[in-house]
Amino acid sequence: MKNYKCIYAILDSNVNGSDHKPDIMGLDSSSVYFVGYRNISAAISDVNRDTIKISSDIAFSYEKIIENLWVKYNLLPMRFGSVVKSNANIIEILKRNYANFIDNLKKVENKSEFGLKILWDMNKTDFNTEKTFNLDNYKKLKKLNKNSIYRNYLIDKLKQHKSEDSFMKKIDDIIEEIHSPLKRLSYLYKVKKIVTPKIILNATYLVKNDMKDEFIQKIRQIKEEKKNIQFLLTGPWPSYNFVKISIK
Amino acid sequence: MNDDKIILKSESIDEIAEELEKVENALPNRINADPEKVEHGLAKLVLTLIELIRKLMEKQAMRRIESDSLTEEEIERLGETLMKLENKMDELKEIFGLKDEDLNLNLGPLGDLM
Repeated sequence: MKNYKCIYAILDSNVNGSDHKPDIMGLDSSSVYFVGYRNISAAISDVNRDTIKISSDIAFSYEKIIENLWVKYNLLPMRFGSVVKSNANIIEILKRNYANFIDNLKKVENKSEFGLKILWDMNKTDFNTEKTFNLDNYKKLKKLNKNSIYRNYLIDKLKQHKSEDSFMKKIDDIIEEIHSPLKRLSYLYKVKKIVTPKIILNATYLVKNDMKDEFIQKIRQIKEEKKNIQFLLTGPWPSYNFVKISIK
Repeated sequence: MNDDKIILKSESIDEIAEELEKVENALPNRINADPEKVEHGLAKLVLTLIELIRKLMEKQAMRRIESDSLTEEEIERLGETLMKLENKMDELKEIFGLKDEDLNLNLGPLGDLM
């Protein structure tokens, strides 16, 4: 029995209340419709709670529904699994979070999100500092007894430390070269460094729609210049990463 | 992810997919509650934290040597301390059957702890 309401997104216009249907199929083969409060609405469909299980197929379907809505409306995507019992609950959520929803809707209006992942294989670069290491730079360490195992241990550690520093410097330089021009073209951005030993940058950018082409073109240009680095650019997405609301 | 959402990709996309799988499959490490293995799980967690602190100490020590803020005696004592600490960690890893790569925590999308 479909006695629950699955919420897909919050929209920035009250689209004629629950009578209006945007001709989009929701989960559980029920049509999506709107429940409104003032000038905002929730896009929902009726579901059987037992069918909303965590699986990649359902998560993809959920994402697709949000995408279909996003083509027509400015929206805040809701977290997968946002299910309530009645339309009254939804109106209560819209009322209690109204100001927050409005602020965030303004923030993401006419903007798209892009995801950028950069892979770089550190094993293809030599960070061995053996040749450049100069013990003369560490006079006190050099003065210690040459047969001291602790002296030799510290020398090895210093070389290792120097090599790690040049590795981090190289990564910072690559990130800077890629991220700097992109941040100038984006409205907001989030950057994570070294997600796995190979993914050295995982970034999301919120870009104004009239800057989208320039943003993509810039990444194409950077990719052409950096042949030894791998790129994965995805989008445009609704703003999944730039909306942070704790629903009251 | 739908292919129509990929705007631009490098030729060796398989490598990217492989790496992404590592992130997506990353579940937070938990202590194994199996009574037979709980000691191992706990040791792994505790040694990971000790290793993190040891590495931070090592970094700090290298900076102190580089900045020339230690006397010769202090440098020698530092070398002794760090070496003994590393040897002790190696012993503990051997006792609990852990390798260097075991001493880490996957923080999901944030990457590895070390």
